[in-house]
Parts: sequence; C-alpha cells; structure tokens
Amino acid sequence: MSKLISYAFCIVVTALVFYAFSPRHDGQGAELDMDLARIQFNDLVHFDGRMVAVGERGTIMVSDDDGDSWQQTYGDQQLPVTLTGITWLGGDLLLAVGHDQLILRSTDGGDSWDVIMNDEEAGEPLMGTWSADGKEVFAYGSFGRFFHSTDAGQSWTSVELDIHGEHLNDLAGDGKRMQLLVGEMGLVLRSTDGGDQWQAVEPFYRGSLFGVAHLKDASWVAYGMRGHVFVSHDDGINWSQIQLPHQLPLYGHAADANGVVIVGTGGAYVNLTGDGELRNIGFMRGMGTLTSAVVLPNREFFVAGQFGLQQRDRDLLAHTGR
Amino acid sequence: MTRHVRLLDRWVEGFADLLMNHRKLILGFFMLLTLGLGYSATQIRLDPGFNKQIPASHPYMENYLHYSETFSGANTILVSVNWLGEGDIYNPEFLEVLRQVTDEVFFIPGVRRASVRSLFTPDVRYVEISEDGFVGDVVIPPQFSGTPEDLEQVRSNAARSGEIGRLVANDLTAAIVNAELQEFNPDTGERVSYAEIARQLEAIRSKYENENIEINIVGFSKLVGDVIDGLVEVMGFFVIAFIITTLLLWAYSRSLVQTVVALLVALVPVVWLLGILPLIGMGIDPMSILVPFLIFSIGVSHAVQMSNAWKQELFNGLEPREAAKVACCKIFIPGALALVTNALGFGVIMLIDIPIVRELGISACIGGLLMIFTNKMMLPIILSWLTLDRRAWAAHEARNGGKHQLWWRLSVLATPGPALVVFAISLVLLVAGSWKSRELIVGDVGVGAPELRQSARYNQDNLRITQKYSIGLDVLSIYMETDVTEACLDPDVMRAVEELDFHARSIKGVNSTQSVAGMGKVSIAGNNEGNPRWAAIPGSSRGLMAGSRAYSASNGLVVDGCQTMQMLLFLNDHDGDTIAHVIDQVEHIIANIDEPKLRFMLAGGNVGVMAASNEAVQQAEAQMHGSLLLAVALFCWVTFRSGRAVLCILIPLAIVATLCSAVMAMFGIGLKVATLPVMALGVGVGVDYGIYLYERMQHELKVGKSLRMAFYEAMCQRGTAALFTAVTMSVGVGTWIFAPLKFQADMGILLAFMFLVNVFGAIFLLPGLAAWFQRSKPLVRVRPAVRSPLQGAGQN
Repeated sequence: MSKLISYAFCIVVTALVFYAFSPRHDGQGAELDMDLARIQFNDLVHFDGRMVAVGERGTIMVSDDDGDSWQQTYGDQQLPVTLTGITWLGGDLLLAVGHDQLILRSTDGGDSWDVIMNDEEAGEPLMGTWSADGKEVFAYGSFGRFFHSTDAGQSWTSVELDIHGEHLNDLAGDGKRMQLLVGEMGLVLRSTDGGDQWQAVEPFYRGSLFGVAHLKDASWVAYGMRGHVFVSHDDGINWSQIQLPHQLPLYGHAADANGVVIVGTGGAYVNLTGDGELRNIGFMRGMGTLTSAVVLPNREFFVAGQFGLQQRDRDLLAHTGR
Repeated sequence: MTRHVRLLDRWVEGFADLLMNHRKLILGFFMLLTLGLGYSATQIRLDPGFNKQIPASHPYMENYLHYSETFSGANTILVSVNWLGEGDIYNPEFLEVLRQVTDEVFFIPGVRRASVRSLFTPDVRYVEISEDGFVGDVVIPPQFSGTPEDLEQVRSNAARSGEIGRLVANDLTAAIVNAELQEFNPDTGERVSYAEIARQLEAIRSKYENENIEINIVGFSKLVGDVIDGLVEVMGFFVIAFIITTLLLWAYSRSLVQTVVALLVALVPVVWLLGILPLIGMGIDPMSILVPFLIFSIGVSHAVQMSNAWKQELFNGLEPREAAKVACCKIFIPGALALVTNALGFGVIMLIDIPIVRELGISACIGGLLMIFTNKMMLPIILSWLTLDRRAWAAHEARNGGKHQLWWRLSVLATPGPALVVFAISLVLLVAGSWKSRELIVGDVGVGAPELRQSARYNQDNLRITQKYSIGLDVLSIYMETDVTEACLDPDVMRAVEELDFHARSIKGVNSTQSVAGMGKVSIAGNNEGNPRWAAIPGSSRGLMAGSRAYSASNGLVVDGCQTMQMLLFLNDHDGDTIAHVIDQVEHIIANIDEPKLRFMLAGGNVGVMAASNEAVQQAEAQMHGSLLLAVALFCWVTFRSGRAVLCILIPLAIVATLCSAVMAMFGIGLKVATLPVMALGVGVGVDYGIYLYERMQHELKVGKSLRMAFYEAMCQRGTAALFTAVTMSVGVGTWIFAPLKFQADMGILLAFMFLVNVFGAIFLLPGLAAWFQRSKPLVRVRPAVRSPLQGAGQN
C-alpha cells in the first residue's frame, strides 16, 4: 500500500510534467487567413438585393446583405487571373471579364462560374461588357479588343474597330438608342445603331479616359487621368471640361436617378447632378485608390478598390440624395 | 553499496589529508593562479553580435546565411527625424537637418554605404503618369534651395514617389534615414563595433535634437548600445545583491570570519572565469552578463555549507585544522556532486544550437567546475588557519542544548501522515502549474525590444516609428529560386510569386508585403496609363514585359535574371504568437502552390531569425529539461546507488521546473534565448539543496536513526545553511526586478523563484517522499555495529 502511494505519486507527477512540457500546439487550423481589405477589387455590381465584386487573382465575392458579409464563389484555386469587370445581364445571368482575355459566365446569380473564353497567349485584359437587352452583348478591352455575342455571352465573335489599337476602357449606353465607348489617348467612339457601327468623336483630350456614363437625355459624362472630367449635352459630340481642384485620376462611377458619383485615387469622389452640374467633390480618407462604386437600394453608397471591400460611406449617400 | 561508499569515503579522506599536508603549497599555487587570471580578466571585453543569435544549423538559417550575401541582411538601422513644429516636414529647417543626418549616417563606419536611403539619396525617385507618359526624377531637385516653390515641388514629388509610409511618415511629420550594417568592416576587416555605432547614432541625436526636431533611432546595433549602457546599471544591481548577501550572511553566521571567507572564496571563481574567457578567445555577451553573478551565488551557497560544517566541528571541540579536514570530508562528496551536476546542467544548455546560448553554457559550465577547486580545495585550506570569532561562539552557546524547535516541528513532514498533505498540496500546485504552463509563449511577448522595458527610450522610439510608418523593423524574407532564365518574364513563375504575395498579404499580423510580383503589377499598370485594373500578372511574357522596371536588382527583391528572388513581409510586431502564426500560414500557402519551376525557401530577416531561434528554443526546451533531469538522475544514482534516492531528489525538481514555466506564463515572460538558460541554471542550482539534504539523511539513517530524526539532523546541519542561502540569493536577485533592462528583471524573477521554491521542494517534499519509500522498504541498510567512517575520521 505504501509502495503504491509513493510510486503512484511519482507517476502522477511525471505524467503532469510530461504534459506541461509536451509540444504546445497553437491550435491553428489549416484555413488561410483572408482579409478583404487587402485584396484589390476592380468592379462591383448590384442587382436584386445581391452585390457581386470581382478582382485580384480571380476573386469573386458575393454578398446578400449589402456588404455586411461576403462569400467567395470563385478564386485563384480555380483560375489565378485578375478580373476587371462584371455585368448583370438580367435574371440570374452575369458576365465577368479579366486578364488573359478571360470571360466567365454565371447562370445562378454568381454562385458558380464557367470559363467561356481564356487566352493565356494573349495575356492582355478585357475591361468590361455591356448589353442593352441581356441577349446582345459587347465585350471590350486592351489594344482595341472588341467582341460581340448574340446569345447572352455564350459564344463570341471578334470585331475589328477602325481604330489604332487603343485600349478600350468603358462603354455606356442609353438602351439601344445611343452608345459611347471611351479609351486611351482621349478616344471616344459613338454608335447609334446598337453597337454595329462606331464613329470617332473629334479628339478633345490627349490623356486616357477610364470611364463614361449616361446622365439623362442627351447628357453624358466621361472621366480619366489627372482629374479630368468632361460633360457632353449633345450625345457626345461636343464636350466641356469640369474643372477640379486636384489632379487625381478617376477610375469608376455609380449612377442613379439623381446623378453620378465618380471615384478614384486617394478616395477622391466627384458628384454630378443628372444635368451634368458639379454638386460636390471630396475625399474618403484612408481608402486608397477606388476603382468602382454602386448605389444600394437604401441609397447607400458602396465602394471598392485597392483596399478591398471594407469601405462604405453612409453619409455620402445623403449628399447624393439631396 | 556499502563497499562503494566506503571506498569513496576513504578516497575523500586521503584527498583531504593530502590537502592539509601540502596546504601552503596548494594555497600559494591558487593565489598565484588568481593573480594571473585576475590580470587576464582585465582584458575581458563585451562581445555582442547579431549573427550570434542565429541558430546556424536550422534550415531557415542555412537559407538565410546563404542568401543574406545576395540580399541585404536583417541588420538595419532606422533614424527617423521628427518635425515637432508647425505644419509638416516640407520646410527648409527640417529638410536641412534631414540632409545632414543622411550624410552623417552615410559616413558611420560599418554602414553599407549603398544601402543608405532617405529623401536625399539619388535612388529615391518619383514617377508620374501624365498625358505624355512617364515623368520621373529624384525627389529633391539638384538645385533645391528651400524656396516655397522648391518645397512645393518636393512635397508633390515625395507624394508621387510611393515612399509615403516608408521613407516619409504617413502623416507627413517625419522622415526616415534607412541604413544597413555590415558584420565586418570591409576596410579594416574587423568586426563592426555595435557599441561604437550606437554611440555615433546617439551623437547624431544630441547634435540635431531641438525644440522642433526629435530623432528616433531603432535597429539592432542601437539596441545593443542601449543594452550596454543599461549594463552599467546592471553592475550597480550586482553590487546591491553583493551587499545584501554580505549583510544577511553576517546576520546569519554572527561571524565576520565566516562572512569574509565565504564572500572571498565565492569571488575567486568569478575572477578565474573572467580571466579564462579572454584566454580561450571568448568575450562576454550582454546576455550572459549574469553568469558571473550566478557563479558567485552558487559559490556563496557552497562556501556557507563548508564553513558551516567547519564551524560545527569547532563547536564539537576540534582544532581548526582538524575541523577543516573533517568538514572537507563531509562536504566534499555532496558538494562536488552538486557542482558537477550544476556544471552538467549548464553544459546541457549547449544543446540549444544558438551561439549566444552556447557561450553562456560554456562560461557557466567552466564556472561551475572551477568552484570544485575553490570551494572544495581552497576553502578548507583557508579555514584550517582560521579561528572563529567570539561572537559566533556566544551565539552558539546561547542556543546550545535542546532541539531546534523549528526544524523539529518541520521534521514531522518526514512522517507518512503529514507527507500526504504535502503530496496533495504539491499535486494541486502541479496541476495548476502544468495547466498554466501550456499558455507559455515561445518567443517575445509584447511589442518593442524585449531586452528593454516598455518605457525605455528605444522602445518609445520603436513605438513612434511603427505608428508613423507602414514599415518597421520586423521583416520576414522568403527566398525563391528558379532555373528559368529571365524568370520575371515567365508567367508561371510570376504567378507563383504572386500567389504567395497575394495570400501572405492577408495573414493576420502582416502589415504589408513586397515582392517582384507586387512591384511588377504596379509597374504594368503604370505602363498602361496608370490604370489600376491593369495591376495583374498576365499569362504571357509579352504582357510581363511592361513591368520590366520592377525587375531591376536595385529594388533589392531579385538578382539579375530573376533566378533568385526574395519576398519581404513586414509584420506588425515580433510577438512569439504572431511569428508562429505567420510562419504557419506561409508554409501552408507555399504547400498549396503547385509550380515545379519555383522553389521557396524560408526564411530570413530578423523575423526569420526569430522564428528559427524560437523553433530551436522550443525544440530545446523539452530536450534540455529531459537531459538535465536524466543527468541529475544518473549522477545521483552513481552516488547514492538507489533509485528511490533519485526520485526523492528529482521529483521536487521536476515540479519546480513546471511551476517555473507557469510563472513565466503568468508574468508574461516568453520562453526564449534569454530565459531558457535561466530555467536550466535554476534547475542546476536547485539540485544542490536536495543533494546536501539527502546525503546527510543517508548518513544518519545508516547509523540507525529514524527517518524523522535523520531529516531533523540533516536540517540542523545542512538545512539551515541551504535555506539561508536560498533566501539570500532570492533577495539578491529579487532586487533585479527594478533593473532597467527587462531581460535582467525577468531573469531576476525567474531566478528568485527557482532559488526559493527549489529549497521548499527539498525541505517539504523530499522528506515526505523519503518517508513513504522508507515505509515500504528501508532506504538505507542500517549498520549499527560500525561507526560511520566519517565520524571516525574526526577522531584521528
């Protein structure tokens, strides 16, 4: 009995000491950290209560609660190609485009994606797609790339535009009536036949234009390098510059019935009325370079860019709304 | 067993005779030796070095040492010039100071000239994309004269240089001069003196600081300089500990002779050690500065045991010379055993494959062995000439007769019943301890330099810099190697680099990343109108060509041809947990990258070094404790020839070692290069008490005393001295808690704990264990007929 007690004590002590000095595991799982503020996003779209963001290395994030939580539906495990644009074609149909002339298509609102086109040899990006009716779609991008689809993005044919291989950065349209395509070195193309024929507008700016938006009626806005914003009131034939007090480049915009908010480097934003009048400008501090924005149904303003998706500004909406 | 012990005793007796017969000769020799080594000790120098912290055989460090020749090393200094006045840094006064500081840093010997960067160095340029393409130049124009136009020019250039957050503070109120140090001065071939560099940096600070300018300096060399400055105060704490020891020793012994002799004999091995180190080509590292003090402490402990035994023999009526001889006979075996075990314990520290720790192990090991000569040979010789002061006799007579009340009451622990209570308490403590010790962090705890306190100027500077800039000193580099020529134009390689960069950027604890893929993306976008949507690694070499500006070796991320690359991860801090998490994630990311063309190799930068030393320390922890306890067990078994004796001594030690881990977790002291040796030292010192007590108990049991009586006798003869030394040492090192250097304060807490709790383990738990073992079967065969040879020796 006494033997038992003394040796049992020694054994218990030994066991506890072994436990104390056994390798300490930090309990780390195999999950990789993912910080949405550290991923660059290049485009946002909002439809039917759902928001979809696309960006770096094929990352596609989906949110059904206006950006409070996000689920990843595509990423670099599938295809490590950076995405540059996303378009909603109506219903559950979505198109995303990116580098390597990549086109992805989703028929379930962004939950799953199919590769429609991917040309690694080209290695150069498409910048976006546009459609008036969800059936006939145009894709545009670097070095004058222009594609046409008549089956809602399932098959594509290349179209040669009569330009000198400039990058095509953005396309906007007023339904079937009128389309504008902007790009490198002040390029602006007009189409009045639903995208079949394109005519170049008399150059009014040497720098690159990164975006274009329809305001209302015959009013349009185009923006680009070094704080350049131009407004046209005659369907893109004549343009006049809106003077900004800074020279920060502008890369994306969100539009609603009240007008448009253009965003860019340094969190800069420019707010125009539907008539193309400057309403206000400002900076969203600490947001880095912004590439895109959407207006949510509750009139909130959501932005994405270099510092990811963590950013929203409820106050700015109030500005937009007024 | 009996024969073995007799043989050993006879040998010791012969040895003691030899000592006493040639005492003049031997003492003379020792004195000459002390003089010689004392002279040599004046040659000792402080010997800090960044590379000494590197566990060279760790795979990370093999990569690091290999690639640090290719890429700049981890030994960076940052001098941040802060503008305290109105507005931001773009004013003539500030920029002039920044220019001068840049120049002064440039000319500090040992600084790699090409590595110096600030707004004023020509490699810092800005690039802007305009309607006409790229515009770029140096940030500060050559004809800069401080006019308002010039200042506006500099402001806008700096903003476009991409250096905001790096060379210029995010809030534009400070700018940095960044430089790297070489380990060896290329002109002289000598090792660069960190203390000298720190002094020069401090001179820059005092020269330029005024009401508008504040200068923050961080970097390993500055840290070493500050630690060395702190060491002056450390010496002060050693003196305080010395004085406390002296006073307590005197109060305890009531004998000036005993006090002086104990201190003197404890100082001799310190002098010898400091003399030997220069002879074997070693200096003393700031980290191992405590070794001499530790040797002194152990020396005092053993000297008190020896002189106490001598005193008791005097009280028994022996002449000093005889008394010294008997004391020597009685103390030699347990004392030498304890010292050899100490030395072994310190030797085990050398298992940790980090030069700085090995040096500590070597010097402590030598010190431990030296004490066998000073304490077991020199001390009895000195004692043989001395007589005890009257005051000590008086104190003895006042107490004479009757039992020592406290020890008699304590000895009840050597009976089975009360022992059970001690067992229960020990178990409760141990359970709590092992549970808490699981929270022990490997590596540093908290931010800033762990050697210094939070409030130290260096850590304040560090805090300032991490707050103001996006970068800091905590960098992890990952090396990449490929056989592809012009690998920066190979999409597979670049996408693999991008994959690591992309995922590493998201890791918690990472502030920012730098890689050729990241820079390439910016450069490709720059070549395409600056459009951020172009910031991607394309799938074709043609597309990659647009980023060629990023593939230059001048960015420090690739060497020509991109066959060798590195990625930098700037961490928020170097907390042990942060590093472990980041390394874990990085390894996970790399494991996911399926690209046979590219090989990833961890890890460099100061974080890489820390990760490696943390891993080395973690690996060494169990190994060290294991071998330490095994060695103690072996030595105890050889001496006592009883497995149960080994358990009696080992079990309390193991419990205390566990509790020590718990205390570290509780006080937020990380397990690291500076603290792991302390645990080994603590165990090494702690074993003394058990050995002295058990050895005495064994003798008493042998003459047929009951276990309780044997323990009581052991306490009277050895326990008092053991407890006294433990308390004295604890108080001495306890004062370190107020030391300016945090690692000294941490060591103080740990050592005080180890000294004190080990003696508790020995006097509370050891008798209980012995009691239960004794109950099942006697620990020692009783030899009532024969008198102990030791007592016989006393009567010769």
